[in-house]
Amino acid sequence: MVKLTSSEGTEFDVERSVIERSLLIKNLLDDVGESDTCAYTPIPLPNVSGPILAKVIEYCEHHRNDPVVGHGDADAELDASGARVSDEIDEWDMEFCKVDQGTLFEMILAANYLDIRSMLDLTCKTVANMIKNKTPEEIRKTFNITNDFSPEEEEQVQRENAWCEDR
Amino acid sequence: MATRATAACVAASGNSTPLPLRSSAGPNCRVEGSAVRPAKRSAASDDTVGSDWDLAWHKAWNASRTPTAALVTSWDAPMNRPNGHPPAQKCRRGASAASSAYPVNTVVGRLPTETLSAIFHLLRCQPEDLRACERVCRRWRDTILPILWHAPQIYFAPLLDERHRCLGSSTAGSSELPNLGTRATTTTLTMDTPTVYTIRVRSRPPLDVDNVPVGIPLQERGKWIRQLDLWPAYSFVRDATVCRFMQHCIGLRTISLHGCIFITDESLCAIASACSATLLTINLSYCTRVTDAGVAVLARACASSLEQVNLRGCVRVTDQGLRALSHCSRLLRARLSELPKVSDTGLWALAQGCPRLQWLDLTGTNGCSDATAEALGRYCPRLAWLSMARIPSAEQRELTLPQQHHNDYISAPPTSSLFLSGNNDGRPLNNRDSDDAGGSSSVDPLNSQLWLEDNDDDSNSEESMDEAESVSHHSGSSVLASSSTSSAFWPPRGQRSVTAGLTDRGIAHLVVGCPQLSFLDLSFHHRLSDYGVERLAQEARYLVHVALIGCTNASERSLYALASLRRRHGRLACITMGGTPQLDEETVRRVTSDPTGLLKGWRRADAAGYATRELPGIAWLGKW
Repeated sequence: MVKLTSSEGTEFDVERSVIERSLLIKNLLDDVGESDTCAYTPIPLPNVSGPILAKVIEYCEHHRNDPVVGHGDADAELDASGARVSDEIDEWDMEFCKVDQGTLFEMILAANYLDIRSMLDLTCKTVANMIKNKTPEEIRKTFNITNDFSPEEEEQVQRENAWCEDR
Repeated sequence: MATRATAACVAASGNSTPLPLRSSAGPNCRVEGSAVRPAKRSAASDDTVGSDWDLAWHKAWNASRTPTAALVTSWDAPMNRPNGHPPAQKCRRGASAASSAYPVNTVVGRLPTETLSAIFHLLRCQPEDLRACERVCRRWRDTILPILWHAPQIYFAPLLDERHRCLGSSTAGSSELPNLGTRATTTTLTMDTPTVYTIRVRSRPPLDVDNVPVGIPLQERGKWIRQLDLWPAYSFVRDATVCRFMQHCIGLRTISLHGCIFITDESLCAIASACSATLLTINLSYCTRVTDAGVAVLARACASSLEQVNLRGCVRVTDQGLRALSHCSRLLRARLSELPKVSDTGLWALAQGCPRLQWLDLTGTNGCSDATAEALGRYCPRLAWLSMARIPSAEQRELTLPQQHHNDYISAPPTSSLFLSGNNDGRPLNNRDSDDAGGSSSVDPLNSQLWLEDNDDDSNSEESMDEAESVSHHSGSSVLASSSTSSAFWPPRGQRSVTAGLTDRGIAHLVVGCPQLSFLDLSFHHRLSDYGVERLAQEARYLVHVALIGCTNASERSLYALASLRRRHGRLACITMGGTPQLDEETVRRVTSDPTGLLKGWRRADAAGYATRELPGIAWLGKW
């Protein structure tokens, strides 16, 4: 078992094999070695809040038996996933990502920080799906983004797009 | 300027937000910035806005939590700035601090740039969506531009239909280069990312004075281009075109000028000076005006970076060019086929200078001799893919090969003179443990059975054989129908115009020096005999595909030797032999149908069907 401490100080007990999906923690534990001390010393995660950490652990529990994606072929993975981004996301994963936007982005940041490749992919995919088939204005509304282009810049982008064609 | 910007702010704050603090923070920031250009905005004000916002946002988002300020802002801290770092220095911290150069007033705004970029990468196949994202806000645009312009497909309006035709046919493995009179393989395939569609730039009034498509925002966007492929516009590309591109595209990694017959050494000089440090891959196939001088300039400039070079059909390149190329010590892959003026001295120099070579195509080059083989064996121990096939003389070609390229045997195999295949489907014996211990024998029969099941149905297999023959009826197999006729087509050695070619001695050097060979094509080396092939079968344990078409002195014995190689190491999946009087249909039928023999389980493959299959264990089947 491994003890994790969230940003507020809440403690979580997780099986080592489960949380080793996070490369950050795996490397940490590997460095510390097999000694008993790691069982009692909680690992502080000041960048992850309690609810998010709970989500992360939930994810790792559910995917505990999946093959771990090697980190070396991250680029290859990116290419492959780029090709089939429209692929259906696993049903459980879909439910898992049905959270409000704030939580979703916190989850992305947590997956990024903890280095859980598959969870990062999943959450990024979810965001990408939110972007799909929208106009710029709709995207801005969805994510609460301010249009900070100057009129000149906007004109330039327009002009450029006149020369670019999708097919 | 100020008024317009304020107007924009008002409009922006009009996009009402569920989070109360945000709308006040946003315009504040904007109004401050509107007086000066945004880049000069004071970093301090930005920072306070950012962290204030963070704090407020967190409170609003999860009121139940009791976050301390330090922890709340620390999301950004590890990625963008160390806590307590003076904000004035923060702005100069480069790309990863990009988020701080933009108003961090949204949930999305707090994502690190790498993550944002990863999200956009997922949308690469939907260019419309990327284009929409580009217009959302500055930060998104700046993150997207490198993705969007990574590998633009530039094409010219007059070529539109042509291009579409080519794109359609390229799925079949090869595409035609119109009007050039030569059949070309798909040289357009990019190296590291397989045909990822990013953006297409069209030129409506086709060209400006420099033969550059009008309207491409080269000046602004050129620096993002990493892969440039000009072959769709090959007939428009002049030296001026390349020079203009090179003025702006300073970070190119890959450039393809395939078939750009008008370019000269001037273009190569421009490329050499613009992207000397970054260029990894250059494709100059069929740039027939390129000479040694240009190659030398390019090789000298890119000596420390160049990894892949394609000089196929650059007929003016001689040994001197290869000697210059030998300075590129990082060279991994080289296609030097169809270079009539190159001899083994040039190839010796190249081998000596490029010890990393893994992939080498010397098809139809005049220097495929024992000396070359010896040089490769001596200096290039990593060689895994090698073609030293010769192009047969004209009359033979007519009779034995589908018109143009012998070289295209992967996409269009050279007749099914005899195409035996073992099966490597399930990656059979690739682990290293089994091959030494002879453990292969335990797996081999199993694999063989799979094929035998196929073969059980006699009529079926006959049919497939007939099919294979009919596929290639215009080429070899009709000739092979009887040995007496076929022998008539093989002129005595004296009539060969090419240099002596490879002998058993060369093979011995090669296989000893290059133990990792997985693909080997030695077609039309008539002096190669069974002894050479047996030697090959002894040493080349990683061999997956071997082609020995038209090796008139290789007989049944070679076939058995190679089959025993398969038996021992389990990798060899494909033997292409034939085109000789010694190995006719009858012989093949006899040796493969012997139920106890070494060739049990081998199957005559349908050459056309086999062409599209990728054999495991061979990198780079030659699509380049």
